[in-house]
Formats: sequence, structure tokens, C-alpha cells
Amino acid sequence: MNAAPPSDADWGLMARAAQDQLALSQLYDRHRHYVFRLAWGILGEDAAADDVVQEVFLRLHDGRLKAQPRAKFTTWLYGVVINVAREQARKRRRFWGAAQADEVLSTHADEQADPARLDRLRDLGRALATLPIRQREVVLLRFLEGFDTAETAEILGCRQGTVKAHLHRATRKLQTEFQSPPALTHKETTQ
Amino acid sequence: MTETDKDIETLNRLFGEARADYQALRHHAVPPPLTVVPQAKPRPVHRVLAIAAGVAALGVTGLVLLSLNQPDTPPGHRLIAAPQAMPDAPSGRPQFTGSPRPTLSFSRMTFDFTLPQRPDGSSG
Repeated sequence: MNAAPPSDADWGLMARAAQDQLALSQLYDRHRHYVFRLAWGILGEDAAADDVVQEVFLRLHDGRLKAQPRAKFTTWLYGVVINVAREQARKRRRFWGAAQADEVLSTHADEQADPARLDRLRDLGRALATLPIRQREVVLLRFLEGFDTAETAEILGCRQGTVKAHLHRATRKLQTEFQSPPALTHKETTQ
Repeated sequence: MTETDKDIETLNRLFGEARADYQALRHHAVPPPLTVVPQAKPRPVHRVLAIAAGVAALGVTGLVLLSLNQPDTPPGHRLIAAPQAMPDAPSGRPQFTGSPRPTLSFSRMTFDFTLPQRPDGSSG
């Protein structure tokens, strides 16, 4: 399951976010990490992901978004993040590259973090970079975020069959290109 | 086991550890301030005026293009001048009944084949 905090209180905060700065700040504190990492997975740049975080919470504030309180809050919020990230991607007209993968982690990762962990994240970033954006979104939501197929389809606004097809194609592609363990692959490429 | 389960298992085998690292990924430790700058939305009146101006501009452009592409007179009337265009021309059909019918005279032509005389007096 997705790790975002499940809470009905989020809809209450959301209803007040347009007028109440405190409610908006609470939503921001609860969800900014999840918004950031999903945008990071799609765009591959820390600066672009930061922009998405700002834009998403700005939209929550200005009341432009049509909330659907019947849905799970995170499902709805992730749909917003996907749309904003796509817009951002269209503006920048570029996605992942190996250079960005290094740059991202050099700025946002803890300097004292395990180097093997950073290597694994960089390899994951490079793997995502090889996928078309729809397949990347499905892998991010279905595998990395842990949403089930129905929730992934709801977030992306498509049918469950489409989600399964994208996931299968993405898996075959990644299996072909990254058959060996990711950390080993990275060490080989850096030598 | 469904095809999707197999795909997830494959991805888990390839990126299982990276998945945990991804989920541990965090935004800035110190959150950047959320800069909420109220943006002035265009007022409805301005929006309506802008749309009306756009439609008017399109209409004028269309009319100009139409007039440039249209011939001066309709093709069916091009060869027949309107009476107003020729004020000096006689109106009505010409009357031939009172005038004498022209007659043609044919007379047989004669040719003279006599050759001029040579200096020695001979001809031919």
C-alpha cells in the first residue's frame, strides 16, 4: 500500500485550505515528501520537482481544483501531481538523463547517506529514464508507490487494462536492459 | 499468479532495494516556505471584451481576404456590357427594312495574252 498518511482529516484541511493558511501548511507538511518524490520520479530533476511541489499546493490554495471528497485523498492528490508534472515536463521538454540523476541526489540526498543507497537510487533513476512517460508513471505508481491496479488507473484516468499493459511493457524493457543487479551495473558503467 | 503479479515480482527482483530507497526519499529537511502569491485572475468583463475583440479581428480579416479573392464582376456578365456603361451607343436593334438591298455586280474578266514584240520583230 502507498505510504502516504491515510486520513479523512485531509479532506477537512483541503476544504479550509483556500482561506486558512494554517490548514494549507498542515497539508503541505503531511504530503510534501510524497508529492516531491513522485514529481522527482517523473521529471528527474530536483528543481523541477520543487516547482511541482509549489504549484500543487498553490492550486490547493487558490481553489482552482475540483475536489472529490468521495475518493481517497492521496489518490486524488497524486492525480493532481501527475497532471502538474506533465505540464512541467511539456514546458521543459526534457526528461530524465544520466546527468540529472547525479545532480538530483547530490543536492537532496543526505551527504552522510549510505553510498550504496545513492548508487541504487541513481540506477533506478536511469532505469526510469529509459521508459516512455506513461510507462514511467505506471511503474512509479504501481510498483514504487504501491498503489493497486484500480487506484493506479483512477489516478491516471485510464482503464485497468491499460495500466496492466503499460506495466508489462515497462517490465519487459527493464528486464532486458537491467538484467544484472543495478548496483553492479552502475559500477561497471563508472569504471 | 496473474501476469501483473509476475511483472511486480520481476520489478521487485530488479529494483527491490531501490524501491525502499525511493520510498525513503524526502523533500528538503528544512521545508522551503510555501510562497502563496495571489494571482490576479482576469475579470469576466475583460475576458468577454478580449473574446469579442478576437472574433471581430477574425471577421475583418476574413472579409478582407474574401474581397481580395473575389472577381470584379460575376463571370456570366463579364462579356455583356450594361447599357449604363455605354451611354452613346444606340439603343434598340438596327432597322434594315427601309434601306436598299445592296447588289453585287460580277463581270467576267478578260485577259490579254499578246506578247510584246522583240527587237527583231518576232513574237513568241
